[in-house]
Amino acid sequence: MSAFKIESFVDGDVIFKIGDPANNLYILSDGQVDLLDDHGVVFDQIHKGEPFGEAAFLNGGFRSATVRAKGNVVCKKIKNGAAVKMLNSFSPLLVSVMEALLLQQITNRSIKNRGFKSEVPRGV
Amino acid sequence: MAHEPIEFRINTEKLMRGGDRVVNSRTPTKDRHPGPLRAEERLYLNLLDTPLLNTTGFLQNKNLIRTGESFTVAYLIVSGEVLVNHAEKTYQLGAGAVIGLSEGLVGMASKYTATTNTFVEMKIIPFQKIVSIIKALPPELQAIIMNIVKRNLELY
Repeated sequence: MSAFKIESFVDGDVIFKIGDPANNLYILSDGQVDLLDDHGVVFDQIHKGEPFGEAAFLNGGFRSATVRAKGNVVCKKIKNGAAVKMLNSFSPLLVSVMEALLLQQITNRSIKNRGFKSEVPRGV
Repeated sequence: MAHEPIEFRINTEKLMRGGDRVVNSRTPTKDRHPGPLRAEERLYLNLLDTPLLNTTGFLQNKNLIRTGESFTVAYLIVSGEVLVNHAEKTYQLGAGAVIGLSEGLVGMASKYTATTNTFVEMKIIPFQKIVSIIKALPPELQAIIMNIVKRNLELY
């Protein structure tokens, strides 16, 4: 049985909000979601086929953005522990690579924010 | 007019508990810092802890990659400083910065030159070992990983 669960949302549903524990990762199977900052302002969107909430790979982390359904939305969801376990089953090195990718995202984002323009994190 | 270099580094001094330096210690991550850690600090400590990544030291002025070259390994800076030159800008990267991982995973040539500016201790990330494994992952996990890679490349 797949570790991914299907969840559906309707327009305006909050999938998670800033400060929530980051327990799950999502892949947007259908529809679109808005990312909102701590002022409730939409700063980005996630489209069909894209993941969001990958901060959950970092066990014990918290959401850095609110995610809200825009129209009808279908997501695949996996618990962080299940995702890490799945990666580990293929190769323990995958978990380290995943962590390093997230760290590279923070590195690059920090550089971009200081060097070019202000940007709210997208990794949520 | 001189421009200040753009910097990224984790404050490793913060990652101390009771005056003991934690970098390179074998103290479990959870015991290292009494307060909440930022995401990058937790990732950094997790990667320091893993026995899967070898640690290597590089002398000052060692060229790590040149524009147009392909990465054979990626790097996590444990301590020290690397200068990155990209599009007429210079970046000072310190502890916690990751170099070359997303580029390496998709076989993209480097858009920048990176050279050690001090003695630098690095964790070596042998990404080539897992390129084929990623292709064998369930499509959802592949999508998660490759989207992070894509976003990382868009940010540079």
